[in-house]
Amino acid sequence: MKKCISMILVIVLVLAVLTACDTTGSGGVTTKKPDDSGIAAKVHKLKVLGPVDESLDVKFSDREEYPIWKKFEEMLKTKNLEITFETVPTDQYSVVIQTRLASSSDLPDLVNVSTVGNTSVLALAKQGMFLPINKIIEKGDGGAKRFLDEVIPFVTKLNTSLDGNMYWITNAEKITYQGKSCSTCMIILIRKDWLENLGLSAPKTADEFKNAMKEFRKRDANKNGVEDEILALNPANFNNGIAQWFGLGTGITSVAIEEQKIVSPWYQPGIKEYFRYLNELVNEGILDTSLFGSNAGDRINQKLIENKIGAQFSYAMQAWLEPAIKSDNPEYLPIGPLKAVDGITPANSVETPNLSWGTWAVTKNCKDEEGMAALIDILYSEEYQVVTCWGVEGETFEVVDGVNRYLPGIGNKYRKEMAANRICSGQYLWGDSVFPRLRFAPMETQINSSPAHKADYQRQVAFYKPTFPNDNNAFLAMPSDDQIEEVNSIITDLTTYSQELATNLALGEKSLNDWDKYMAEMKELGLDRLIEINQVQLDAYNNR
Amino acid sequence: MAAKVLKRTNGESVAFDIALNVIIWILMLFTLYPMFYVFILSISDPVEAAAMNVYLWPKGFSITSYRILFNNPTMWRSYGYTILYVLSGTVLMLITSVMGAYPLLEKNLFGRKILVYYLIIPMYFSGGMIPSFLLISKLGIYNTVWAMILPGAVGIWNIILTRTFFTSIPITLKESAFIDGANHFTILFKIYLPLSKPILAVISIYTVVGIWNSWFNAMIYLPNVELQPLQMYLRRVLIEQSVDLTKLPASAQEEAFLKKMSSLQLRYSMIIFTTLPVLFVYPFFQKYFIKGAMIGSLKE
Amino acid sequence: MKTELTEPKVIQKLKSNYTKTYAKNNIQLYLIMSPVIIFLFIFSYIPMYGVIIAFQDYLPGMPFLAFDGSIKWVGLKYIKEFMSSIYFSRLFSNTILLSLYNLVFGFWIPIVFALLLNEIKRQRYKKLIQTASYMPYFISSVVVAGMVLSFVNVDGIVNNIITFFGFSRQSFNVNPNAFPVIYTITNIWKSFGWNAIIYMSSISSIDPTLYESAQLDGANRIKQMRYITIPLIMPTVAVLLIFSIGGLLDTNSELILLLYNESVYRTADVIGTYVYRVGMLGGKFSYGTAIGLFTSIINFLLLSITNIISKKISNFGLW
Repeated sequence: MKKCISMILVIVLVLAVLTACDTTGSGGVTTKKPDDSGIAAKVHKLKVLGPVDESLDVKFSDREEYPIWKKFEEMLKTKNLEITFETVPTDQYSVVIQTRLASSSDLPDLVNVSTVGNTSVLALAKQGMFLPINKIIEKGDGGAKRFLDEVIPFVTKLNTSLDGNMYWITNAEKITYQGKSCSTCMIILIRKDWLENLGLSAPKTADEFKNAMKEFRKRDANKNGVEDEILALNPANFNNGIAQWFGLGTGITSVAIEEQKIVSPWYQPGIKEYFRYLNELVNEGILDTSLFGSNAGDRINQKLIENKIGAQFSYAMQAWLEPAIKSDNPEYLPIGPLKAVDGITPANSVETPNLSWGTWAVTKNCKDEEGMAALIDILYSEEYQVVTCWGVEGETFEVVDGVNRYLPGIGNKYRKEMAANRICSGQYLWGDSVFPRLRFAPMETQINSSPAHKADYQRQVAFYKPTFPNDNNAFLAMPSDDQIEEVNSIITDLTTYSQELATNLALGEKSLNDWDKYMAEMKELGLDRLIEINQVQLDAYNNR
Repeated sequence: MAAKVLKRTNGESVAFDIALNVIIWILMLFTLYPMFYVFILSISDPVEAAAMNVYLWPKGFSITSYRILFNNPTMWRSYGYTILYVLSGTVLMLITSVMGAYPLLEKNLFGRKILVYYLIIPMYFSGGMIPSFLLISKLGIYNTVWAMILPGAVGIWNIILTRTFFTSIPITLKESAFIDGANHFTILFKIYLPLSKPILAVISIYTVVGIWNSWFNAMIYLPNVELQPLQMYLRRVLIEQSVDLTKLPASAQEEAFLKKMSSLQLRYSMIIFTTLPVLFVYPFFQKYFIKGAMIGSLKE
Repeated sequence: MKTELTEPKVIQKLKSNYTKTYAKNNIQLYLIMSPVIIFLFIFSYIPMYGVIIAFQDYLPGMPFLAFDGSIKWVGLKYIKEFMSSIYFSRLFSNTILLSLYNLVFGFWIPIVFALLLNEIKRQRYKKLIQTASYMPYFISSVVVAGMVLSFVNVDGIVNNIITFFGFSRQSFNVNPNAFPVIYTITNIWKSFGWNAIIYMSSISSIDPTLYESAQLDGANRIKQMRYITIPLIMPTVAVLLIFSIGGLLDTNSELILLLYNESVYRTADVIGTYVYRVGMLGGKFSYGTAIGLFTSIINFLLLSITNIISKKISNFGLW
């Protein structure tokens, strides 16, 4: 009797374990329902490898429970695609990719190689590791080709190598305002509530800004009895908002977008005034030297929480900083570009409206090129853009005044709700991880949902000139091997020198009197050569 | 009591004792306080912890960060696997350290110098991640528990420490054993091993903690989440920022920022969580430090 | 008559006996050693061919050794590039200086601590102190760096103390002269307790009868320390010292990356941090390996030289 019961228990246990095993697991095979027409259509089986972040609320492993995933599967079904996913946790991903590529075995068909770096991917492609996308999509129905030519031509321009092939596909974003391409800008934000409490008006020049910060400190804007109100800024890099007030570019070399020329802040007219200004800020205690360094992110966040940051550099319409501050009704006001020097028009640091980032490549293991072409036809299509970025009309977004807008409960801030309700748009499940994501967003959406002072600012500054991009690569053609070689031999030492000099000039540790010496040393290190190479790349991009 | 103190020490040593204790207490302050600080940060209210506003007492009370760690069944599974890796790794390490150290004692060992170089070179030169990975794949142990246990089984450093310890064991013991007809195997296991408790205890502590804290091997050899050790799990939960924020477009910045904010307190609970078991393990090994006193009893 | 036997025949017999035991000895010893030898061969020596990528333009996915032109050999290019950088001498000297500070100030602290701890007789108290001493080892570098930087901040504890004594506030984290001090103290604080463990065990394993007889001879505690304890732990100290010098070109780069910023590069930028930045700026995979090889070779030479010197002076060595 006892034996019987234990046997039954064991069988039940085994069954339980087996059923449990069935429902878990990080990979899933999407099965295709039999074709209604009864004709056996050719099924394309593809393997996709990508990183997943299982710490997020919206998890890729839960995708079967999301209606938006079902919608995506329908799209795949129409092209007879059967996809097997292999996922690796994000923190391990770069290592696993390296080792996987090194062993060249068990390679998937489509793989996210963003962590490898484009130069390396290109070099590997030349060795035959990756197949050219442009050749593959010839085998499709032309959808992807058309999309790349007409809708997102910048992706082709930026990612085609000198041999005419494009070896990867990327995420793509297009931002428009009033129907035209419009850049998101990064700007100095100042505490609006402090200005109001102290009866100060918004600064209109660099000097007024300095005085406002001085007042914050003197009159204890954060009411804690200590003179600790500060500006968080790293002088090592030029992309910090204030440099742009002096007309300076955003990097050691920077694209002057309107003039289509490469410039270097070190050679621009406002540079010395800029360092004098920074030095004044340091001496007044406004610029907090304990926040220097590229590793200062955590410290800055801490000061933010402690309600000590009177001004910092971020996206004009950001809304994520204020909630973190321990204060009643903190509010940041975007200001600028502020005039700093007579005769120099202040510039704006912008994020290009046409963004292409991330790298998904097709490996040499892919035998079913038609299937891959079909997949890319889906990934680069308007329908996919809607499903990934917006979701389903009526469920996740609505159209207001001809402009898409998320319904309540959808968005970055609502991950818990989206996970609980299983309702979201595709990008939260599979975007920028296993598959690239597309986003065509009118800026009106964000402007209309931002508080008045931010919205007004953005409208004002939408088409401001002159501008410098926060990333040169959006304007430069891919470099040739020789160019890569030369840049690599210059860039580390030049960057070290520039960052170290900039910081020391701001601190007053180095004197402006030795300017000629600094310029000579930077020329030695290859500054002029870097400008030349970037210019060649810029011209190449424009001629495409 | 005072009489006992004076009796125990010579007169001048009382001053020595006092000075000693003062130094020790100052030292303790500098080493204990930071850990205490971490502890109170981990149990404070999350917002206060993020602002790091606490000094002597926790502000508010919250065990949410611990709950995040404990609530996940994955954590217990990785805990279990870690114990497996620690136990097997330590046992292997002890065996190989002793077996690697003993032959080096013999001055007449054929090719002794070459052997020592053979041992030391891998401490300085290694092929790197990819050749090791290829080897592990070829051996067929990739993505199995063996990939965690085998590669770390030999510690050259520990072999050297053990050999140094062995030199403190009087050679007369060995010689008299030889005269009595023993061979090397018997000498190693019946004489040297029992006397090695102090060094074995040290190696155990270092190895236990080393494996307990390790995640690098798992990162490369163990993509299967089920088998991963605790530190991998903890790192994943903590979401250490390896993403360069400046390379993210505006639409992704917010998410990165929110992630970072939510994990600020986790950092501290992780430290407490990782350290606690070690606090229990160490005293267990420490008592073996003293066992070496048996040498005297074996003197002829 | 007996003297005839001590001539060639006996000597020959003794010699053959000697060779027999010599052989038997060695076979046994090598048998004992064999698992370690085999293991190291498999897991350390076989993958060692990977150092070859220091001489190539390598990317994951490329073969290590092929003759069909798929590998680009560059020889000593990366090492040459590194040595001709204007920062080479600074990086080199910073690396060595920071390591030396660590060595000079940090090497003896665990030893002294172990010696002092040994003087404490009450076991419970001793255990408590020891546990407290290695607590910092377990605090992750990220948290440690955050704490240290907030201490040396303009409104931090260190400044509060020095203003109390009448000095003016300064921003220590942008002072290149302060960095080595900050780094060294932090490094030592973090590791002294943990490093003391080996010395603790060494000291504890000293025969207590030696102390007893010394006490009977009238030696006080300090004399006991000087004539018994210290000489008996010298072999351990020597080995650890030799290896510390053999690691002179290694620094705790992880900690430096967290503590430094551009304004203190002059004293804080070391080989490890420079190589890290090369990697971040998109440098070639092989660059890091080439520099690693370069520093390993130098470290190895340092080790050998130190060992030879040590044997000549004190007869303690690695072999």
